Formats: sequence, structure tokens, C-alpha cells
Amino acid sequence: MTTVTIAQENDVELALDSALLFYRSQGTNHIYATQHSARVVDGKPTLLAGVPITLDQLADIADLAARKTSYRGFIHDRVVYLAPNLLAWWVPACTRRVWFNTKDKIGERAGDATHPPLVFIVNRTTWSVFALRENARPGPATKLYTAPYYNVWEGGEICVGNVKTPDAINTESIKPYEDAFFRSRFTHSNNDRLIHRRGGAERLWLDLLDGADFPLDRLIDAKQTLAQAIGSSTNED
Amino acid sequence: MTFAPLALPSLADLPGVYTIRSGESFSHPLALSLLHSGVITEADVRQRPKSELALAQAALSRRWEQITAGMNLFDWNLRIEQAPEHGYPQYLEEHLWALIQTGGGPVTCAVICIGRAMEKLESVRAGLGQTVLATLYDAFRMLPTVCTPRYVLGVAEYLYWYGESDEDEAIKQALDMGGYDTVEELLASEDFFTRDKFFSEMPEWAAQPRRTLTRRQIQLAAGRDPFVREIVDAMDAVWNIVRFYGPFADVRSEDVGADLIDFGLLVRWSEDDMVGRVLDDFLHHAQEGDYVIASSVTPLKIVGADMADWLKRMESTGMLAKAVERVLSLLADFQEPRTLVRVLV
Repeated sequence: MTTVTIAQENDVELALDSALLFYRSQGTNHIYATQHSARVVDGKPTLLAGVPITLDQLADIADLAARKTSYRGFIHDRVVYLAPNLLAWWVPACTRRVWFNTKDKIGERAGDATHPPLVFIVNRTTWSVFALRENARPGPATKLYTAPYYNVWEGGEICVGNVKTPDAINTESIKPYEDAFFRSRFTHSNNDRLIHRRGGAERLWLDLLDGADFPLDRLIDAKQTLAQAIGSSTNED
Repeated sequence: MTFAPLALPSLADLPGVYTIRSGESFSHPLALSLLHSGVITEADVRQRPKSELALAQAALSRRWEQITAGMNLFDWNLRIEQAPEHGYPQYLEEHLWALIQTGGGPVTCAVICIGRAMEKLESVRAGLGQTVLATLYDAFRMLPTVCTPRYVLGVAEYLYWYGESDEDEAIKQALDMGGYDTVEELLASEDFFTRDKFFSEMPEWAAQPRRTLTRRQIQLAAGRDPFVREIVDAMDAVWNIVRFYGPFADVRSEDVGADLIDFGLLVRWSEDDMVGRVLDDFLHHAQEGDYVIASSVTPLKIVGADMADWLKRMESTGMLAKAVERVLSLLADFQEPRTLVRVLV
């Protein structure tokens, strides 16, 4: 009797083991879950009789899932909120180089400019930015202001365009997100009301590129707190 | 209300297994290559294999069974593995190694002794045994390594004699380094392996046979003895396969960059010959360096039809091996007829 061996030790094989079935009624919050063993019988995957799932078992499942979905590691000092697929962090006021390629008076220009303190909120589908009046770590009740940047919609959502954003949402993606925002060219305004001042955002950035301080008192109220903004992101998630 | 028994819910379209492939995995390209080249058949896929690896394994096992079916001396098992990363330049990442090895590890192959049969052939016609052996050795070169007196003499030259055909140079070096005054003193105090020792139990042509007889002379000898007839017929079958059933797989394992320490078969002259001692020393030496546990290593490209082509050629090689086995079985089974002694009562 001769044998054939394929020495392939790197693959991990996961055999069918069990299934969870959920029963829910339309229009109510009632939900009932059963756990079933699943086996291959006569070559066909088959669901065996189930048992009601207990809260303890549900907690075990949640724990297993959390090990894969939650972040484990050192906490970034600018992170203000972290959940699976959701991250919010703030950026203190600073001077940073920006690039423009617009059809207005700014045109194709790059240079150092002062920036207001900012908060970024990222979830699976959207990426938003807001400005802050105080240059301090924001809390849940901190009021948010419209970030007066081109390529940002009224609700704070950033128009990504062809900018490459990180594949994962975790604290290691903070720098890539910031680079994607600040180091790409701002091209057009998506919001008519970016700042309270004559000449609007166009005049603002021309002044900032010429070395003006950022006028924090001219920021427009976004009419929501940080907790509300994160809450709406969580609902979307 | 129904009292019909509940059928177990079938998840007919769900896979029974998921395989998480690592970046280094070759099961997917291997299965794809075997599928495209027809080694994996529709019937293989219809049996719902649990993974690509299982699918490739089933298809390769079926083909290997066909190649080795009916073999009773050679121990050939197939092992497919990733070619080593830091091998020779030609063994790039996209190559697999097809290794042929014994089921139980080095030197667990069958052992046969041919000395008595060779002496019988020589007794019928001087040079006949030598001619048959020379032809057999040529056939062995087309098979995964067969350990023979010729092979072991090569090992001895490499191991003991600095690649020379005898111990003269090695003795000179030992005298220079070891502080002995005479050769006799050296040989008396050290277990120095010599060419004479190697051939103490067998003729020199056992390791270096030549085709000394013509076909006509062999046919005449075959006419004089039924055993010789059987051997010559079996050798003719080998020759016919070599001539008409190629191409054969290249199993010479050149440039592998390591010692091969497994054999498909061990052919000895007799149980008293020096083959065992030399092999022991060789295995010990090999394990201190790079070695591969195989009697043959063939690098094959993962993509394309390399594997399928090799299997096709191995079918011819298998056929040749079985014809060679027939000759070897005759040689191994040969017993001198007992002389009957009439006992007077």
C-alpha cells in the first residue's frame, strides 16, 4: 500500500460545528435564540436538534466575537471614543502645511496655515470632521463646530474622492487618516456656510496661507455635542 | 396534526468545512493546476471534497495507486511539499518538490541478495552475470535511487577515500596527520576502511560490471539453462519497455543540493557484504549536513501542467520498475537445487 502525502501544514481547517437560530417578532423587541449542533451526515451538512441559548452562552459568544472585533493595545492619547468599527479622536490646534487645487482665487497653492482644534469621527461608512472652540481634549458635552474646510459636507462628512483611506479602523489608523485629510489637495467647497466672515472660506484660507491666526470665534455652531455626533455615527454603524 | 417523524434539516448547500489559507499555502494553485490538467476529474469534485487539499490528495492518490499497483519490491510513496526557499536558483517559490520515499523512513525498504544468482549465471557462461548486472544498473538509473554495490562503492569513495577509487590517498593523509610511522601501524590501530575490505565478499564487477557478452552469446547461454532463459526473457521485457514506452520521468534528483538518504530498494550481494557498514556510516555523515529523506526529488512548477506531465511519465517509470522487479525477484528467489543424497538402508 503506497501513500500520497501533501505536506501543507499552513492551512487551518474549520469544520462545521454549530449554528445559532434567531426567532424575532415583527414590531417588537422580543427575540429567541437556539443553538444547534451541525454535523455532516451521509456527506450532507445537517442541523441537529437545538437547545435554547442561555444568557451565559450568549455572553460566551459575545466574548469570542469581542476578541476579534475589539481593540487590544495601548490607548492613543488623542482618542476620545473607541468601539468596534468606530473611532473618534481630536487634533490640537496647530500649524500644518496644506495643499489646494481650486478654481477660485486660491487656485493651486500650498503652504503652512494655522488650523483649529479638530475632532475626527470614523465609522465603517463615513468619516467626519468637526472644529472645536477650545484647544483642549473634548468630552461628551463639548459643542462641535463646522470644520471650515473644502471637501467637507454640511454635516461634517468628508468627501473622500480618490484619497486612499486605511483598511481598518483602530488607533493605528489615526495617522493614515490624518495624512489622508491634510496631505491631499482641497479642491472645492461642499458647504456654502463654512465660517462666519466676509469672503467665506475662500478668504479665510487665503488669509491663513498668508500667516493669519485662525479666528476661532468665527466658527459656525454645528448644533450638536460630541456625544450626539458619536451617537449618530453609532446608529449608522 | 401530523405525526410524521421530523426530518433533520439538511443544509445541503452549506460547506461542511472552511479552510483558512495562509499566504504560504499552495493547496489552491495545486488543486487548480490538477483540475486544469485533468488529474482532478469531474467525479472527484462530485464527491464533495471537504477542501482543496482533500481534493488534490484524492486525485493524486488515485493516480499514484495506478502507478504503483502490482509493485512488490520497490517502496514508493509520494510526498508533495513546497520547494525550500533557499534552495538552488531554479527552485523558486512557485515550485513544489515531488519526493518519492519509503513508508517507514530511511533504509526500511526491502532488501534482496543477488550474489548466489549471479554466481549461477557466471557458472553457465563467464561474463553472463556481469552483463545482466550491467544492464540492470542502467535500468536502475531510470528509477528512484536503488542502493546497490555500485552505489555503495561510490559512497565509500566519497566518505572514506576523498573521492578516489581506493584508500591510498586517504592513508597518505592519515599518516601525515596521525603520527603513524607505517601503513601497517595505521591499519592495525584504526578501523580503516579499504577497497579490499569492500570487495572481501563479492567480485569487483559486482560494483563495476561491464557488458562482456554479445546478444548472440547470451541467447546461446539461455538455451542451456531454464533459469538463464527466465532471466533473459525478463531482461528482454525491461528492454522493450525502455525502447517503446517512454518518455520516462527524470528522477535522477541532480542538483538538489543535499544528500538523499532513502532508497526504493536495497540490492546486496550477500548478507555478509560490507554494504550495511558503509550505509550506517553514510547515514551518520548525512545527518550532520543537509539531507532529504527521499529516494528521488523532482522540482515541479505549481502552475501549469508540470505535475500532470510528471505523473504521466511516472506511469512509464512505474511500468519499467515492475519489469525490473520481475528480474530482481528471479535473482532473489534463486536457490541452488539441493544435491540429493541417496541413503542406503
